[in-house]
Amino acid sequence: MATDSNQQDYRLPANSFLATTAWKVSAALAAVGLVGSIAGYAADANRFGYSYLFGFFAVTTLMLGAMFLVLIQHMTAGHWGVTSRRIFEVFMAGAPVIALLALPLLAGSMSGRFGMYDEWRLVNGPGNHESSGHGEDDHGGAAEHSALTIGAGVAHAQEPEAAADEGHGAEHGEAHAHTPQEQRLHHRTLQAKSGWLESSVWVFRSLAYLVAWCLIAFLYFRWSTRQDETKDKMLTPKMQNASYLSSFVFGLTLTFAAFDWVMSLEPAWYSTIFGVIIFGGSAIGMLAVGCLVAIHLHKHNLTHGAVNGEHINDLSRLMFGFICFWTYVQFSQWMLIWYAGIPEEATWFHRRWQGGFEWVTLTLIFGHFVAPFFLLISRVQKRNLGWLQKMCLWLLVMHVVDLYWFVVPQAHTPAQLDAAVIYDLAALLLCGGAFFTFVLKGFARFPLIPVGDPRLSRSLHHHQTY
Amino acid sequence: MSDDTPIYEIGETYLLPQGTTVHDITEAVARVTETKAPRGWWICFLPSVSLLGLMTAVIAYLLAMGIGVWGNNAPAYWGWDITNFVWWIGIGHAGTLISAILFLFRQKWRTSINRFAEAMTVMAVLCAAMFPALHTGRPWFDYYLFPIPNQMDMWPNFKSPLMWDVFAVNTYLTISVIFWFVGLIPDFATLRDRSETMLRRRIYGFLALGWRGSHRGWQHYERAYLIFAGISTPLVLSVHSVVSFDFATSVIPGWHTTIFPPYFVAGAVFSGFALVMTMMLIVRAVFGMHNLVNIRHLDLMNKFMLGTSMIVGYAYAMEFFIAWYSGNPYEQWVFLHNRAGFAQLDSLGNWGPLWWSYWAMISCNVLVPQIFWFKKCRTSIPIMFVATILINIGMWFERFVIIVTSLTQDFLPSSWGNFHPTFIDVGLYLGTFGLFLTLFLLFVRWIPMIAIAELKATLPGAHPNLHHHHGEEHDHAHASAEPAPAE
Amino acid sequence: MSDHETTKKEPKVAEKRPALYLAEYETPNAVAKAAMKVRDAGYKSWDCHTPYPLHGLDEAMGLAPTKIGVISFVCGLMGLIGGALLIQYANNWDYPIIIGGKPPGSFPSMVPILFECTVLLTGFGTLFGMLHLLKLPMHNHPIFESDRFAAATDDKYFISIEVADSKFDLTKTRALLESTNPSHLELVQEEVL
Repeated sequence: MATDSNQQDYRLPANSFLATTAWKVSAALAAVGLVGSIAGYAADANRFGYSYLFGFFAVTTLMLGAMFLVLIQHMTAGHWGVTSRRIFEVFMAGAPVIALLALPLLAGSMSGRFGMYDEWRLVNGPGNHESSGHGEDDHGGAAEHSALTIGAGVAHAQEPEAAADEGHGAEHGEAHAHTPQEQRLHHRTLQAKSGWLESSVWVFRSLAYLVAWCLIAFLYFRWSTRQDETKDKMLTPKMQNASYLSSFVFGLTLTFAAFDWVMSLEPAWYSTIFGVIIFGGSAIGMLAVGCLVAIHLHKHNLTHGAVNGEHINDLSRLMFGFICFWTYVQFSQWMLIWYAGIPEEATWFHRRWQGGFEWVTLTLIFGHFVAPFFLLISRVQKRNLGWLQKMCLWLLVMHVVDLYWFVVPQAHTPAQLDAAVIYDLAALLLCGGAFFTFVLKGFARFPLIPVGDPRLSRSLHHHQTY
Repeated sequence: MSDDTPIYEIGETYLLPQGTTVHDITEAVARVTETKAPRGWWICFLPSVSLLGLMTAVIAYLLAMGIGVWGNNAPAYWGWDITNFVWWIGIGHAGTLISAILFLFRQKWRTSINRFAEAMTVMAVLCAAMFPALHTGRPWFDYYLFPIPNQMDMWPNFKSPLMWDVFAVNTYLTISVIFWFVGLIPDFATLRDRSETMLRRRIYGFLALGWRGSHRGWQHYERAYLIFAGISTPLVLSVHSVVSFDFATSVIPGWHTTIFPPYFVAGAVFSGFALVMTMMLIVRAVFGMHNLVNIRHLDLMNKFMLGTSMIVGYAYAMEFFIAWYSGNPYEQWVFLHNRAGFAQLDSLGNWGPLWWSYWAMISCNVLVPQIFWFKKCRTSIPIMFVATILINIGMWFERFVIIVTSLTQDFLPSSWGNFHPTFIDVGLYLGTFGLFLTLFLLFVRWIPMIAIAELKATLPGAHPNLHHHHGEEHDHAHASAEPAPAE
Repeated sequence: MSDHETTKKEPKVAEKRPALYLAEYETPNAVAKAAMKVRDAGYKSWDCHTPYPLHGLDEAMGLAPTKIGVISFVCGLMGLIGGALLIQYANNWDYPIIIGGKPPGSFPSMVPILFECTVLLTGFGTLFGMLHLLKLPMHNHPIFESDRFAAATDDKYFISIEVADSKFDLTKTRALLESTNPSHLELVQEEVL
């Protein structure tokens, strides 16, 4: 029973699972992941690029989700989330790890060992203005070769005169051999944006996103932990005022990171809602993790009731809302592309409905929306913490599957689930393990709730009125 | 409980003036319906009825002559009519947002404005529905749109986005009316119990359904209200999403873009909020509601508009960026030439003919709201009054730009054309303002324009402070009165 | 502080019988504390009347959680199924149409209408479910015989205990209510028809 914030220090007891064992488990998993990743890299560096991107981006979205939740709480100045805010702050403070984890991706892509962004680089390369400039020998492996084919189909469909010649562009895909003309058209499409997708520009932008995130994370974590000690109330309006600009930066960097790192895997494809979808998924992933942590704290009475069922229930409701939001934006993208049936866009979904990925798609529809929707809709379900814990674990897995669905179908053309899924997992373990090790250490170092927040007392006594 | 008290250092204040009692609220709100209408009301009402008359005349003429009297013609098959439809529907969305979404987020300040905004929803949707209904050409056959067995033995095509619109708009209207009415039941009972005349007692008594303020009733009522808020939230998203599907399922450049659904919703909320502000500033002045809707509410609403303006700005930026990024020549043409009016000249050397409407949209929707970064602008009534009107003009232009610039110059230069509105277009648009304002003014005159019961519940000390004897793990001394968030 | 007279507007020579006790309180705390006493005394046919919903009164009155959510959910499900059947029947079975290369019953194109139907029926279910649970509309109720009761929709808080309650007793119930310190207590009578 929480009565007075001043009498408790709300620190993790030195002998608790979170303080002693959890980070070691996480570090061990990271080590396993590292071994697997090295093996994966050695086996097929090009394919491993996708694995690493998947693992890295899955973890990045968690950090971004945490950042969003911190910013939105400051922006709205509500009191219900004060006690659980520290959880998200600690995850947000993992931004430097994200920046470190990004380095292999940037290096791999720059050096050409990870081939997933090469399609647009090729276009800009010397001699590619001519028709069939690059064969298999030219650029490592059949996979890319056919990737170009499907891309060529895309470009082909974009060019009116060619489309008139050939009829439906989408059916070309894998069946129809690409013609020099198609490749030329494809190149023309890609060349128009080659300045944007060009390696050094791309890396520069990527670094800018990472710097922006680290800066926001650093400032907010610093202010909040300083408030723990000084109890300076004026830090609260300061954080609120800074939240507007930070959210603006956050929104743009998240969107363009999603464009640059994931959407550009299919460089001729585009969707304006893409950043919003990634954002929705990030919030779900982090809310699931946040609920899991909060339930753990509550069950083991680590915050002396400061984070209690009321707060967890509010978090779970927010998560439920985001499940609906994610479904809404995902469905909008799918339905609009399906309805219009323009080949240049439909290819992207076509990839996700072949070679085993149709099962991943179905898993997402049922596992990421239908099941959680019905299993979390009632307040009874959300108030049952044991049940909620299982659902959060499930949603976290689904969030990872969601990002798998975004990244990995781009690895082969035609898309094919392959045995390298083991390396995908290894990369996920590596990135996730490293990130969680850092974060869990953070839990042990700082108070578990923002003890200096002026709204803390109101939050401690928070009771849902509806 | 100390939790009720605002923390002044961080800018929190009480929402309502301190010392406001439960009875004060009853008086302030119910009095409006019981006293004679102030002169300001008549000053607003007479022009509104005149505009309503204009609308009737225009519709009569339209029905007599056919919709050829509108400016729509090949290739701009949609013009002002659909622009107005989308605009009016968008206006309605703010009402649902305030009543449902802010309710779910427990933003207590909404109680001063939600009734008001809900009424605007109902009236705006009525105005909106008129345009597609007339656009069918023979509105007396509009029942073909509903799945009613008819003499042609045909069913509607449920795969058509226009059919989705029929369902979405009608569901929206129905649920909005129900939600509004459910919120009104306790307030009708208040009016009933204050009635001096038999007629008032009868009418309000009938509408109050025999409400007794019973707590057994309140228990169900509150949950029902929560459920209505819960279904209205996705509903309001779905309505403008479906409206956006009318455009985005097509392959017209500038229309077929995946961000349309959330972008339309954000725009709708944005414009609706602006109109709520405009109307509220007028009503507040006319009826002297300065205490219940005070500068703190207005400040919060202005912040909200700034936020939605940023979301709308994000969508404009994404559209523009992706139009370039796509490498699709038609998208690029529509955005760079038809809309922005720069970068490309057409074969005749003309600038895009409607570039000014695109830039009017950007100025009003993205640039003007930036003034709300400054507290001085957020708390100055003349400034916000002008700004909200500009925002509404901008949001009208948004729909106009989307519809007309995409339709008039798309794929084939041989089928390009221009759009010129007629007086009938203008008259009908102005006329719907007459319908809207007339209904609205009747509403503020006869129906409690502020949710009496809900507002009472937000007063400090409005709720019992009980300490339970049976072992509950948390006490129930919750923060019953939410202080206003920091400014 | 009490009067046994019914407060009727026209003192007709109608036969009257007691209908309920009506106790009036000035503050939310007073009514909530009184409600706990009445609850603990074991009454069933009683109620609190307040101008706005008082939080915490559910527990003070010992009310079971409302079931309206179930009604809404079931109605919503009916809307979903009904909408699906409507589309399937109209566009697939009775008069199949293929438009835009989309076969009858293409799922993505059904979603918007399925959603609207679900929401519509959920809304109806909630409205009528609520009216059913509230037993409204009920325009005539003996409680309206009290003149003071008009304040229940303004700024006063009331507790009513009905004669229908098995524990109702003119003196004992009165004593119980008096022990809760109401600012006013009356026995409301209704006309015998």
